[in-house]
Amino acid sequence: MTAIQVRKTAEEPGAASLAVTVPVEQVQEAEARATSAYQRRARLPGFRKGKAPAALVRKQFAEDIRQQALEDLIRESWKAALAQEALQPVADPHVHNLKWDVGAGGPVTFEFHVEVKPEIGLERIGKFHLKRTVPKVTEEQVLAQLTALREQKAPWVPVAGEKPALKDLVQVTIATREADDVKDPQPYQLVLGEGRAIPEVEERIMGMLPGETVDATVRFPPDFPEEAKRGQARAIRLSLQEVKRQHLPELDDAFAREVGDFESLDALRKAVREDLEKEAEREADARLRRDLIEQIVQANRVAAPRPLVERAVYVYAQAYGVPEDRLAEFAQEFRPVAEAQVRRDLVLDWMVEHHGLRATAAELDARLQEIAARGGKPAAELRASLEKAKRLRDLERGLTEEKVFTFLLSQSTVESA
Amino acid sequence: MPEQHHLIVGPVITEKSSAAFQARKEYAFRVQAQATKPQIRAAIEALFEVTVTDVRTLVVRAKRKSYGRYVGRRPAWKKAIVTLKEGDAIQVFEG
Repeated sequence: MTAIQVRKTAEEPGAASLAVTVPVEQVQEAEARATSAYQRRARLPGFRKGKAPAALVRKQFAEDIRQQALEDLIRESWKAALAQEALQPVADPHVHNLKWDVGAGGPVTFEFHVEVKPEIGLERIGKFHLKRTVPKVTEEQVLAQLTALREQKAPWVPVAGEKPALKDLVQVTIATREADDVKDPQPYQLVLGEGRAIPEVEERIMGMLPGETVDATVRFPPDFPEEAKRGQARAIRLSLQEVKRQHLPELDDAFAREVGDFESLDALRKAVREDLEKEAEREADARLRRDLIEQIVQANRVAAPRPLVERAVYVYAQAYGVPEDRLAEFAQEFRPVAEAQVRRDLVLDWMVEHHGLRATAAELDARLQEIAARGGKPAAELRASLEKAKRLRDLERGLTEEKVFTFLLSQSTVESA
Repeated sequence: MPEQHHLIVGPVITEKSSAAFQARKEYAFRVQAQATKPQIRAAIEALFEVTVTDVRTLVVRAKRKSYGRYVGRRPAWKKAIVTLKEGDAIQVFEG
């Protein structure tokens, strides 16, 4: 039997085109297979299931059979192509220029377009000079963090006999006035200065005492989101029920105890500082890795092949739910990020392949045990839940990356600053 | 009497008729109950431009069908089994 012919017609880094010719015999065989598959299932009037003659089935399901035969052929051709050409596809191929004269009984020809992993050669992976800078955590940063905590914990305390100021929480009722009628009063609760109400209303509120009611005419600002209302005037009746002010708790040991399991303010301060320092370390590591990749990319002139970049952009667009009409704009904006991502992945993959740095099952197990111990769960249960959420591969990938970076960093000099 | 092409109602394509066709090249048709063998022969020859060597007919008996408590009958119908001269063929059966 003559085999399926596959010929490489074009290749660029990251993509390849293959011309495929499927000989007549193979086409007929595929059709026969598809027909008999349909014959076994077909239920036609006058025949018991599976007893209808092939000719009749072929006539009845011509389109379906053709479709199935074609799918069959494409699958087979793809297998043949993979066996013949040393391709490393990153995705399923696209089929183009399909030609099949059904009546003529000739061969089927088509083209595969596929995105492939480009061949890169990293000649220099070490002896780079890198700087790892961990920014000092300043006292101001700690204080800012503590203030944020205080704001989170601060209770709202009612204020009596005082006009509300910015950042106060007010309880108001706003009703529209028409002639002498006051219509549908609506209660609102808002923090002044956050822009929840139109500026004129906020201004009015700030001139009132709690319990007061005033009639006013306000105008919608020209930049109001609802276009129809811009610049329009409304007669309203405003009444201010209550004003609350946030009362920041004192920064003392009692506050520390309230925030969490801390003995004293000093302990809390220390914990906050440690957190910030850890964060800084993490960031420094991330920056170090980025720099390292950047240097490797530059030293070896790793290019990001267009098809892979496009693919990455597309994947991100899907993940962010970018609408169809904004796709071009998004692609434009996102291109540099996608390119960096592609280059990084290429370098990492190359390292994994050429230096055997893939995370082993034992390492994965050890990591699972560790995480499980931290969470107080049995490791088997954790593995099952990760597997179910399809996160196990992410974990493995993360481990592999860690190994690669450890290796890479050991090849270069890192200067700590 | 109906016109010639009205005599032949249609081909009978069932497991049984297909088997007969495959084994002995017999073509089965549903025909008008009043049609006679010579009329059927003439009609088939004219419609499909073939030479008929043999026509056999039979009346398929009406079947009793009950629908709930109502009992009825399906109409009886005439089937013609036609053999052609060697080399002639009718497309419908060929598939």
